[in-house]
Amino acid sequence: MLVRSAPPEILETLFSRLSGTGKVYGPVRQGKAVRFLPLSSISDAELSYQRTVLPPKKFFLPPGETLLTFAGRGEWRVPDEEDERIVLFGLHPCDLHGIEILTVFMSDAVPDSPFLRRREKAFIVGLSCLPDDKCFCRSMGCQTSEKGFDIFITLLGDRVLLRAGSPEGYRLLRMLDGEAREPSREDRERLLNFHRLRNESFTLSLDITDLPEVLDLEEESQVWEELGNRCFTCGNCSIVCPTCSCFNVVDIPSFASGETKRVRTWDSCLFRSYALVAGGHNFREKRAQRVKNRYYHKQKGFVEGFGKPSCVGCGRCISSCPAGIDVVSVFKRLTEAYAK
Amino acid sequence: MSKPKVGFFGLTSCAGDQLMVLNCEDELLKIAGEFEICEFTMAISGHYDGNLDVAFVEGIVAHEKDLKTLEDVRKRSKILVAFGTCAAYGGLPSMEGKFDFNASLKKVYGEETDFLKKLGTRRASPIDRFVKVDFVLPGCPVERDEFLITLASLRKGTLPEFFRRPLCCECKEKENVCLITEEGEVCCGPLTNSGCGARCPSLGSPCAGCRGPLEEIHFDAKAKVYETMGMPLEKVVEKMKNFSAPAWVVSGMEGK
Amino acid sequence: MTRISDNPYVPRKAVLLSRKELSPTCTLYRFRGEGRGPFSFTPGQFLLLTVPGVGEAPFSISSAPSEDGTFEFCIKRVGRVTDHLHRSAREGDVFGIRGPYGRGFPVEEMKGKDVLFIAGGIGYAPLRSVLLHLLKERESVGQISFLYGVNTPVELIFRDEVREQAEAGTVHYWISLMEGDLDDFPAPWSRGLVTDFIPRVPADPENAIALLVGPPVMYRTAVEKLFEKGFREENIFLSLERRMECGIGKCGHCAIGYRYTCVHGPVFPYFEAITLTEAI
Repeated sequence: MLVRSAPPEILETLFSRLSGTGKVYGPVRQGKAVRFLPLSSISDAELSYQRTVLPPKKFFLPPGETLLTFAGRGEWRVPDEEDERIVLFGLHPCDLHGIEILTVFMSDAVPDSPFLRRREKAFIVGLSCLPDDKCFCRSMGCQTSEKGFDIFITLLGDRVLLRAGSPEGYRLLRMLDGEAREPSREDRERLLNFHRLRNESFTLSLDITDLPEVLDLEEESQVWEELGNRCFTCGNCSIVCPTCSCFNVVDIPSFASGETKRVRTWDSCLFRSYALVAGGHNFREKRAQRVKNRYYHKQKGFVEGFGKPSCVGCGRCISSCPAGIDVVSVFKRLTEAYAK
Repeated sequence: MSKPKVGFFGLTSCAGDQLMVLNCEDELLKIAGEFEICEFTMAISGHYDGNLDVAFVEGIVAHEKDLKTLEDVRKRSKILVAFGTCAAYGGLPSMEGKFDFNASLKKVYGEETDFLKKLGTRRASPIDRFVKVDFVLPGCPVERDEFLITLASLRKGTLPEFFRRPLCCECKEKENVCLITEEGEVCCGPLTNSGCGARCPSLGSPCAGCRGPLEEIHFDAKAKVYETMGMPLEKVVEKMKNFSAPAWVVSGMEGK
Repeated sequence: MTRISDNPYVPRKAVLLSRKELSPTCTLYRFRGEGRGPFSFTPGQFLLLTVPGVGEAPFSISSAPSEDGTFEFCIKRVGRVTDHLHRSAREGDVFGIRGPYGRGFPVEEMKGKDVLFIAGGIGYAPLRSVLLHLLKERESVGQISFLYGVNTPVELIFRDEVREQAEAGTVHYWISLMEGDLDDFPAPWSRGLVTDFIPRVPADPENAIALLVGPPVMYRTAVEKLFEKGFREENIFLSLERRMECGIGKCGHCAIGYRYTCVHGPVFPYFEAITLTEAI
């Protein structure tokens, strides 16, 4: 599709075009945290951010979403739909992959229409990045993105490349023709250099080629027991994961209005209550079983069901684990044990 | 349907949970309209000896009179709610579980402790040590929203369902940077009941564990979580014990 | 991208037609689903029942598919929602239902074969849906044997139906009790485990299907004894219980490996179930 080269100032034009189509969200630094928040100008955004605390799934599967409201006896309604289009500006390739994985999952069998409606309404602008010591997206094939964006921006010093990924993105890029041009030979060289630099900057990697098979052999590995002893099952890794979408549903009555809201809340398979059924039987009573289940689901179960792992290598689970557990070294231990 | 009869009781406590009820100013008239408030230690003088549909009991058992009140309330109530962290887990008054009980008494009251003996002073304990508890509303104080949701459920003839996750989940949903990994703080978030919206960590202050321990913590004395941060589990448990010492003693975490 | 029409989280209405106490803890509720066209299901499928203002929970349908839009749940009092139902549900009350969801029992495959039912406790409820369906055309299948295990006589639900079918000879029952006695009952019974009967049941394993619903521990023993008897893996079907919040493969709670009990089950042929880690 269409690719354009322009000076960085074009981002201001792009932003004003986008803000005419809907509310624009982008990475904003607040203290040590970077969060996707509403932008009032392009200067609010931190274009060189590393990773946000929460992934963009919060826009499509909001934490604490009201699914239904129960009024009187036998009366219920769905909440009014937000009609406004949203623009998500500055999503890294790993997050674009995360959204794609969730979209595939949510479209399977019986589609989750609240999620999919929000996804359809979003205009997504991707943004290039360089890895830090917690990124392993390249190992997961998520360091670059071929879909899941309307426009993708690659920052190349005093030039930016703008790439269209959808008909809407194409139309918008065309409107910027006055300030942009065909990429020059020099632009191409810069892009190749950027790719080289990015690829050479990874310090963390994991070979997942045979991982599902290794996992089949390591069901009884001591690794799971040890992890079970270390992990507090606090759920941080699930909450910040771009592809974790498990939820719990609770009906919450309001004293003031007398109405009851059915709310879905982000859940985690690490919690003791997760596989507990009425009557008291727990299908994954032990912490080690639950930790193992999470790893198996990401790197084996999802592969069997959907053809690829549901991990994008964004590094959020590593950076947010209070116990310092790191997914890469866990799998490395397994594959090494296998190799011996 | 007649109005459910409720009572609010304060055992030994700061009465902060009862005060929270009185602070529901916008809802107070509605509460009084939809429930028959028969007893309220902090707000109503006089006695009521009849049966109750629901009793909210705040505080710990610290002497014989507390115990008598508690047992009497239990006998008269269909549903007994442990109201606040003291009643549920022991709270701050039960911290003394860490020290020698008699030595503590002497330190506070001097050598003349006869009057305490007359009161039947005992080691502070959460109420489930003595009576069956039907429902727990933790918090120091109880969250106003959770209290009102509980009332709304009771009016429908049921008890509410609160999804208790580790506090970390609410903290992450607020998009806070982790105080453990980023600041090296001793934070009780991973061990503590959610429900407060991670109020303290959102203001930059580590969780003190005031909402009490998650159910599972009782079962597991092995998590070595903080060691990698140069922060041994003992330190965290020590901090957790401020609000829920009896639970940790029972779980065998004492001294670990 | 998939186009989205209906919101799968919105229940349709169902009116409670009647309720009948089956035991101190189990009640049979009869509902009529309203709106949105005919209501059809396969025995073994489940619905999510909403008690408005209280909550939602999944239940297997325990009646046979019928034309009139009615269906029954046999519900045991074990949690918040079921407790509220038992205490408060009145005829004419409006509830919400979602579904039917999941994969049911292979009723078509049963034609011309002997059918062996094995139920533990409340496991009778979903199997009753299959049984009543088969009894509508009794001659379509061979011998029907039903092994039914409960802890105490009072837990023997649908006792009148069981008695009637046993007396008519349409179904051969074997009943096991952990304690207590069954006086004057027209079917063989004994103390012990329901699986103890398996070797004694006259069934041609070459031409029979076994349907199992009960606790996980029952499955292990039952399958072992069915193998000893000569049953093949593909002729044994069992229904797995898991926690479910959504019923449509989204909430994750019922996942076993890459399978979702709510979508790919709850009924699994044994040869599939055995491939799922933690399944039984």
